[in-house]
Amino acid sequence: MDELTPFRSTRNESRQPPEQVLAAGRDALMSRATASPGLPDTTPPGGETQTHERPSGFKKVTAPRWAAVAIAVTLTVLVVWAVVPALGLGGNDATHPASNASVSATPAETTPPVTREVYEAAYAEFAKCMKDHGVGLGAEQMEGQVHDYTYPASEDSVYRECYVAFQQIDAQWQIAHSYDSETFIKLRGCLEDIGIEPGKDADTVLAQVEESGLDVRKCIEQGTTNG
Amino acid sequence: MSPDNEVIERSWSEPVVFAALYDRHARSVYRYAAQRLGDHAAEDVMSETFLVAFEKRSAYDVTVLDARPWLLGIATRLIRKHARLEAVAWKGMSADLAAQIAPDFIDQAGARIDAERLALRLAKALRKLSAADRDTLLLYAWGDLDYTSIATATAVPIGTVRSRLNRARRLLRRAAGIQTTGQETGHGRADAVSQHP
Repeated sequence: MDELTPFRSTRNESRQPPEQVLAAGRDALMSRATASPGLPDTTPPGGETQTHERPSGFKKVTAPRWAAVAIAVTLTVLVVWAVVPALGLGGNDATHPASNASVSATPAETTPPVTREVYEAAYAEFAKCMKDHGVGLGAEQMEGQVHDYTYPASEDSVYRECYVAFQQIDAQWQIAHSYDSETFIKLRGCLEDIGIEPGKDADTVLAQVEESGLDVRKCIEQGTTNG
Repeated sequence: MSPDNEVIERSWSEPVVFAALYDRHARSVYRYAAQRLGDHAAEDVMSETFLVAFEKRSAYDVTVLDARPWLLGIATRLIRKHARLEAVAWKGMSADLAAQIAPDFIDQAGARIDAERLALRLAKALRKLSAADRDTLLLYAWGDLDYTSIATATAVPIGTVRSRLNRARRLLRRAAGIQTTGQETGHGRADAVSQHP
């Protein structure tokens, strides 16, 4: 006998969500989906999201993490180069959102760099806008030089309204500080795993990743190059 | 009916299409979460799983037909945010689980131990499982995932899934006083197609 087989019989098939709960979950999803015009116009390709843990009474929501987005775009290019060198960028599948991004400019390429003062001021404006609408930000903390926060999911419309002004600065700042993002931390770890001392800035790390032939996808997905 | 990967790919340009994924898998996600956390928290986990999945849909590997492992992986990570509740729930349910599985161990344990004492020992062993091993075991048992799908769900290599499940086996065998014979092998299920509820 496989000792784990008896466990499978403890699976409770009869447990079902009440219909109103199912409907509420579907409504929440539809509300998000209908507000989204589609990936190419809204979320940058390869975009990751970060969930925010919120205090009691708050619902968890997601917000774009631009640094990860930019890295994902860069890595898409790297992967394409590594896997299909003969095709280069032109060989990327144009129907995939990631490929659209790989040829489009990031905010950092088209506008001057955002200083800490500018970022902080924009964040303060954003927080004020939320507050003026009666929505306080919760669980505020700095994560890799980036403000992390939560807000009640029921106030999504307020968030969307206030975030518009902050969005571009936030995106540029996060891209500029991508070295400390979750994705780069993984890349740096994987470089160390294969005996390479990671560089001190994001560009150097990306160059090292490219030169080393690191399996980027495996590294990002599994946090390791082993296995 | 389009497979999950096609639904997700289509939702990149037509977001509302994503609702089809909800209709297919919401019950399965709920069931898994409810068994681990109870109904109240499961409602949140189910709803949140699909919101997170929606936001992350561009990162979905569209070569994978079935999105259930991906969704259960998201649900598992959300369950971790209820760590305290989950730990308390697991502690409470381990005795009940042990009582349910004990009869299957009796034959192998022989006459050396009575069912009641065996159940106590199994319960104690279950409580010793690490959070990662527990996630893996419950994705296998209650999520009805095969090894490859668990690896996808938890974003670890398949070898790690094998190690974790083997560790759970060892723990249970030791608790039941069953001798380990020979080298352990993976017990990966071959019936990956029968994953849909």
